[in-house]
Amino acid sequence: MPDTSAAAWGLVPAVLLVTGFGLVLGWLVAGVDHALLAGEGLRSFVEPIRSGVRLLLEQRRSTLAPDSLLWRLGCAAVPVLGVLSLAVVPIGGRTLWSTSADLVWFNAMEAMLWAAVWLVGWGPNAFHALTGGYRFLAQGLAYELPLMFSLITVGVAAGSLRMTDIVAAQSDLWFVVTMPVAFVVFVGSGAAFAFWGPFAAPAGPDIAGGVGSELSGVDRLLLDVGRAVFLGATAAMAAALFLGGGSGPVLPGPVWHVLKTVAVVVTLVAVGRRMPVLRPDRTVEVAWMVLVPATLLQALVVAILLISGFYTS
Amino acid sequence: VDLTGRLRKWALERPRVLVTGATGTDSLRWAAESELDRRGWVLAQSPCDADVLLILGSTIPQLSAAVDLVWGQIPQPRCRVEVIDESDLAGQLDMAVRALVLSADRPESVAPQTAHQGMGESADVSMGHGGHSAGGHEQLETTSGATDGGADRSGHQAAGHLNHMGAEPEHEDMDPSPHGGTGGAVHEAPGHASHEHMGRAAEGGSDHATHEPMGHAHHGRGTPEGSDGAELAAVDGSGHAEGSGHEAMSHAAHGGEHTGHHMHHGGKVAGLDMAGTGPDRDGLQLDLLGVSLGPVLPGWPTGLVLQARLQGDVVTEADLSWVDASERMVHPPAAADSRRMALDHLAIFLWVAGWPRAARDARRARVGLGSTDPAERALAAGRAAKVARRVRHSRSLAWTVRGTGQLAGGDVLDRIRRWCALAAGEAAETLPFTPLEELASAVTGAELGTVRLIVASVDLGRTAPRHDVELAHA
Repeated sequence: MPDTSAAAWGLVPAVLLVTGFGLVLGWLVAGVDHALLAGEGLRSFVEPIRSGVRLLLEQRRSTLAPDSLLWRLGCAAVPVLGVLSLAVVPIGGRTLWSTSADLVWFNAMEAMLWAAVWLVGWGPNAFHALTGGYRFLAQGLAYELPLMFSLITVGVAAGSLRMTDIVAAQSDLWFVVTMPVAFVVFVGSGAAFAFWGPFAAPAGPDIAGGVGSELSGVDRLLLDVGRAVFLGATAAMAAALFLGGGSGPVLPGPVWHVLKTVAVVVTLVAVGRRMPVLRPDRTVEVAWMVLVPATLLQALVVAILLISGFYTS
Repeated sequence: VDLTGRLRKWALERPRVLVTGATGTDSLRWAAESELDRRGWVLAQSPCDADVLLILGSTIPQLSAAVDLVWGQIPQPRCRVEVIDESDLAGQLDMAVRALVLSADRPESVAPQTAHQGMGESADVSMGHGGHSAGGHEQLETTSGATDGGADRSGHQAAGHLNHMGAEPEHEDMDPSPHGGTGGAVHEAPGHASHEHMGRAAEGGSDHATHEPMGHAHHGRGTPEGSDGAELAAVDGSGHAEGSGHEAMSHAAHGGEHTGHHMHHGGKVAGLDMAGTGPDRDGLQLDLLGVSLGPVLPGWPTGLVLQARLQGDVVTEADLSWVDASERMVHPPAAADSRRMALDHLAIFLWVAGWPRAARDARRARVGLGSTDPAERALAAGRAAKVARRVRHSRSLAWTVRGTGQLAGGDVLDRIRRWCALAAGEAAETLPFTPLEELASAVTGAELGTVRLIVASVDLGRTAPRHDVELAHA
């Protein structure tokens, strides 16, 4: 039985820890984002909290003939899925739970995000929100495969889908060295699933905020938090999958993991804010025509390296 | 002061703002936007996203109906600010925050889930039933919940309001809120009935989205576009057309149709017609949705209305018009202003294109160029050149917009690069004005987001105030 944080610290404390970690990650993402957008330095990290409190004070708005149940369900599901995807990310050297298919779990949470975001767009019975929902479906479909292939590439090299094995397999060489394409595609696809930055078309200003156009109060907060948590989870996962997780000199492992996660977040936000939102038909085309073949090639290269004994030596 | 109160005050110190202004209020809008940037207040993407509705200049009647509709969609706590001149802008915004906090402090105004008052079941509601609580119920909750608590408190009767919409100054009669200083008035949430539900509740309407505001338009002025819009809506139905601020736009349509003459056809859901179908570009039968954008929509020329039929998010038919006049007025900017105008165009385009950093830089340069201090101006000129260079050389922008919106002067990218050249102060000739008909044909066949980019990329040549034309129409 692998050493999970649920087994080590008890289920409830471990779940609380993971949730707290997810929220901190989301706060980090929102803070860095705000710092880049508004140029307010460290004060930027106060603003996400202020915005959250403001939304909690705000009335929940509804529309004419909404599908209330599915709408609210979708809003609530987004942050929950973000936190759940963290269940297989090592925090303090342990994942919340561990199965022989951790990578599949992470991927499954993303797949469920399709449904959740689609419902957020569908629920209010309004065309801007619905347009956002459509855009997300197309984007999710297009980026699911590249993301899956990049995850599989990691699994191939490590010979396991278990996170702790994957981190252990990088003790000599970080996977990013032999699979840079998979790394970039993974982080980019994460941004696409969080519909953030250049992939923000499902919530773009050109459709009045898209899936979020009819959201106010706690519903908007849930969606915003969910997106930020998911982006943070992607960064933490990328650090574990490609950057060796907690490995590093002097400092303890968890600190290294956090530092790498922060570095990924800062890089991601800095790059993402340098460009406009990309039109969804263009990004979808890239996913199918460029990213799918590229990740397949990457997997091939890694498979050849594996057979030649590169990873075991 | 209790902790909760202070927390509330702190949280509301940076509200999100939806700015709208009549044509010809550009300089006021520039001043307002720079003040918002200075305070770090963010521009809202939709009414739902907003806390403060900032109305610039004196809105003409046709527009004020749409503004009221947008106001009705803003969730509480909320605040409405009308600013006439820029001298007291900062004071007005400070006042807005105070009014927001006040509005949040009043529990009845933020807890709308009270007794079910049965709104919306009959057409009667839309007339003369101003006092119901609209905000509460989940089933038919259509508004942002103006719990105005009844006519007794607000002194506001919907019917009366509908009838005098065209002529009266703004809402002075019904808001018990503290009024602002010289520049305008701060209207506070409670006691202000949202108008949106009236139209929606009017079950007999041929199409709720286009129906509701018409009440205003009809009583107010009536518009030349009326019959077209009515026809369009009657054919399509627009079940989904309610959204953030879009229904506002349809208020130009329909002038003539609304009293007593209602079209019944097809199935209805919650009083809305089901969408019809038509062949799409691949020859399939797809839903046709009648949707209108404008006249009050962030990042959209105020007063412009797009009546469109959509299949999915592709516009299959488009009709563009100004809400306040049938012909446009061409008023070329003074040479000194052409750089600032170009930066303004860029700022709006970049905002719509989802590039908030570059948009902010463009706005900042625009402010500086208007300064009287030469050092400040030189600095701003540098900033303008920088943002222009960044946008012009952006490969991602080029990749994403190239080939869209072909007009006489090239595509969207060509026009944006021209704006960049102007903004950088290079001797480039200004863009030709785009007639609405040309624009309408350029947006036909485009996807909704692309439509927004195309509209934001052109110069429609309306910078003059419209009052003279107004009077002619009256």
